[in-house]
Amino acid sequence: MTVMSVLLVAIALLLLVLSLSTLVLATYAWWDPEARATTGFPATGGAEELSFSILVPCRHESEGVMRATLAALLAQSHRDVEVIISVGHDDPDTRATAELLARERPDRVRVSVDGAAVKSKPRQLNTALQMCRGDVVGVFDAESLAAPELVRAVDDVFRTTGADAVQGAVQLVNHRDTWFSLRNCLEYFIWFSSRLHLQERMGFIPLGGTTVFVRRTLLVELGGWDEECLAEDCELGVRLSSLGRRIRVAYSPELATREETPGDVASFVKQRTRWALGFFQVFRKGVWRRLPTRRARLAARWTLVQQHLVAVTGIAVPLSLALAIGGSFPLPVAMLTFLPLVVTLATVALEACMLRELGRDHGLAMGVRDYVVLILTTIPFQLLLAFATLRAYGRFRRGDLRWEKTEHAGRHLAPVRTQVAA
Amino acid sequence: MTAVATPTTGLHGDVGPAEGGPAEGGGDDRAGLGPVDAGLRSRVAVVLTPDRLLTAAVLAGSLTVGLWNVTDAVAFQDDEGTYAAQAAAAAQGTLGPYTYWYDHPPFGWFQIAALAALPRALGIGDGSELAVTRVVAGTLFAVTATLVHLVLRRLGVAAVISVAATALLVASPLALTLGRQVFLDNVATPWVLLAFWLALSPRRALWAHVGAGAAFGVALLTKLTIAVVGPALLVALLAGRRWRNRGFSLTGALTAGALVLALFPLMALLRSELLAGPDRVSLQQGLEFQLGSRTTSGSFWDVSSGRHALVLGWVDQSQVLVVVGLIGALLCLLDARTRWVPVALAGFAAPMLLGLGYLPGMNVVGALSFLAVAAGAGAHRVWRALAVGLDGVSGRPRRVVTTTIAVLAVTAVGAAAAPEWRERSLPLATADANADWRDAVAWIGANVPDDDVVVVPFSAWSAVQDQGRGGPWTVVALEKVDLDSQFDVEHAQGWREIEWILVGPTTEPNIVNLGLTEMARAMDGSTEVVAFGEWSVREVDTGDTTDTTDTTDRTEEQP
Repeated sequence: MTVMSVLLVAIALLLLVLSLSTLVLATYAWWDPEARATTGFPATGGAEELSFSILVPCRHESEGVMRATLAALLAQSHRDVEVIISVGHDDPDTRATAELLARERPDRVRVSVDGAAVKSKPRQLNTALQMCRGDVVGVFDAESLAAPELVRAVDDVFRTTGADAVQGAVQLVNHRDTWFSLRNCLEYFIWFSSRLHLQERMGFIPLGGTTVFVRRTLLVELGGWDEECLAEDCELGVRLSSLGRRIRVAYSPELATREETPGDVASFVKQRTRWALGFFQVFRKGVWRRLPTRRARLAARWTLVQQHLVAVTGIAVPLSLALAIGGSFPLPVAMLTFLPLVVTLATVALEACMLRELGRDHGLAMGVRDYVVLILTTIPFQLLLAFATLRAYGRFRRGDLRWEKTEHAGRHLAPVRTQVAA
Repeated sequence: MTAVATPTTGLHGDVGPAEGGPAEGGGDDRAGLGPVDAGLRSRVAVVLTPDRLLTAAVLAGSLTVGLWNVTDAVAFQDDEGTYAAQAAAAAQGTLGPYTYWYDHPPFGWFQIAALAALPRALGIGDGSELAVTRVVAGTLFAVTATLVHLVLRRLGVAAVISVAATALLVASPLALTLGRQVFLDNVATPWVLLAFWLALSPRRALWAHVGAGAAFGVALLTKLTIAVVGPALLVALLAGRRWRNRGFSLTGALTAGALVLALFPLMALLRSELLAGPDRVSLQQGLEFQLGSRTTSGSFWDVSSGRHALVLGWVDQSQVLVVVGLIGALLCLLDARTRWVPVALAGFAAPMLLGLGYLPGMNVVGALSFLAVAAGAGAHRVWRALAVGLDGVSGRPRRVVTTTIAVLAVTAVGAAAAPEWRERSLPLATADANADWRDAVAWIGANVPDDDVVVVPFSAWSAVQDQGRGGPWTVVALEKVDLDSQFDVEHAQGWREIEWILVGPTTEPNIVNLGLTEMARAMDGSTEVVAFGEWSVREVDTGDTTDTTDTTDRTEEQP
């Protein structure tokens, strides 16, 4: 029994540390009222000093989705923005759509066709990079709706902070489509409005795949994206961070890019497997070890590996609780086992506050039903993440690194149709 | 952003010698220092701000007062003996020497046990368990006083006024007696004040508000009755202020408090004692006893009731603190930032004035620090009004007027308080209230064989036990004879197995109030052997002829 007690205490303490660090990362933007002020875009009204080339990698996309994305980019208040739609030569339908769209705005839209035998998003991006003329290269997913003032604000960040790269915010907006959509939306909200800012302070930013901007000369100098990597966006962030380059993260709700959550559990799991696999890959590549500070390396280790472990170890919480109640352990041991649960409950309570703010920031209706869903999906969502992580780990061990693309149905378009039309 | 910038319209005035916000300020001008030691000196200056030095002085002063004659200023109470015994048991890894029955959450005596380790290791006190725990109580008295000062400073109260208000508390007879005894209230009060100090954090950081909730949770785990100031804590956190993360702060504070408090039912659940059942103690039963079935103290509005006498007795003992505090509380109503002070006092007053249930004799002790806060905040309010009145006056005349008024005010309060300080507070410095107690305990040590069964009041339990006797069923606490079913297991013959009874001033009232029938029989069947003031030792006529070593000694005194 003593051995079991020691084991139980060790597991409880480990879970406590993991749950506490998750909580701390998630709540950064709310630590004090001033914290939020440091996470936004500089309020100088925007500028137009740099020129922008925006890459939109597309693969098996519908015309409707592509047209909306393009419209949002062309409606930018910043006038010096060109768009390069990147397609593969083996995807004739998407290519045809891209060329159709380019013909409508020949002055600002061009098409890049990637001819590589093995297809991947980084290969398409690298091919398209050669066509770019702007001072800054931006990347937008095929289904990303950019806010009209975004590029002006980004120009401002580059100019006022001397940044080498800027990560803007992305927000999923179809929070009522599936049972996991709400938590998925909240995850994005926490990631871009809070967590990334603490990571910026710690010196490690894993860039996202969309609404990301890098100075072109630097990008070319670095040889573009890593073509073998499933998380080429994150990998680029690691390389920039380890070279001591300045990445700025800026979040303002009105400048967030709108996207959709995956349409069903299968595609959600596919997406998460791909991300986790990509992160493992980046971890193994080891560039993060060259990060300048301990803090940055700690943040890297956490982001690339530990957060996935958290998903898996989360399953251990109910198990250890069952053990504590069922087994006859000394009272202090049994009570200690409940500490991770205490932190988890506190996290859910604060998540409810974040959900309210998410609704307010992005004009999403949040009713009693949504708060109930938030609470009820805590465990299932955790299980889903754990499953995707285990799946990714299995594939990682087998060396199976094939690309599983997420399909886009255009569900993020409905709530913002008016904006697109503008 | 606009929501952030709502300055507190409260007490942050522009008067007073050491005016200015929280201790973190302290940025004194360090220009002109030599280049060599400027670095070190500025670092020292950053750490040793005037505010921090003042706080250290308040702590040192109140610690001196708190520990001065703390062991013998007041007679040991049964409750103190209970907590001291339970703290000692907690240090050994159990919840108490007798069956734990959820009368209070055990976390209060866990804390006493942890704090007692230091004085015990240093050999402070006369070595007895109660003396060591009294040292803990004296230290907590100083922590409470220091936190009163810190809370007042957080409210922007001038240093002089804050120190004066704290001194009013430290010198008050009621605080010097009840406030330095080993009561759970005295362990809970620092936690409550810490909660308010955190809730009033000028940065409004989320961790401070979560910390406030957690500290209040710990206070509740120490003494559940402190819940009466819960509403005041919410008022302090929210009233008159809006800021960006208010929802987060409120949620964080409430969640933290609730989760900490939940450890108590969780403990009961893990011991399978959450709900009442046959042949077991339970949390449910413990709460029902505390809330309902204790002997009533009557209504305050019935002049012949125990409650009426108790409350008036409190007021009588520390008139100045009560009167100045209540006037201050009224002034606190004028300002949104201090409105929580009267709310807290109302919380304390409600069970005293409106309640009908049992009112414990130490119930007032938590309210004393809030009276001191009210006195300080109220005085500052007057001081500010005065500053406004002198708006046109400046320079020397202004200093003369303000100094005169300050001296007059201090003199007036001092003169009013002088009699009670002289007659009640000062004698505590030299009193020896436990002389009879000590003699009685010593007599037992010298005359009663180690394995004889002795029933003692809880106030003497640890001391008699420490004479090297055989555990809680050889030295039995008075009420356990009737109320702990384990007694019948240990002593099949019931009261007839009791050989000696140590009788203190509370023995007879407890037998009546708690309905201890078995003990009443033991008393009837016993004879007084020796008496020391209010204390006496009785020998029970057990009926059978047990030959003990000191029979001669006993038979001499029997009729």
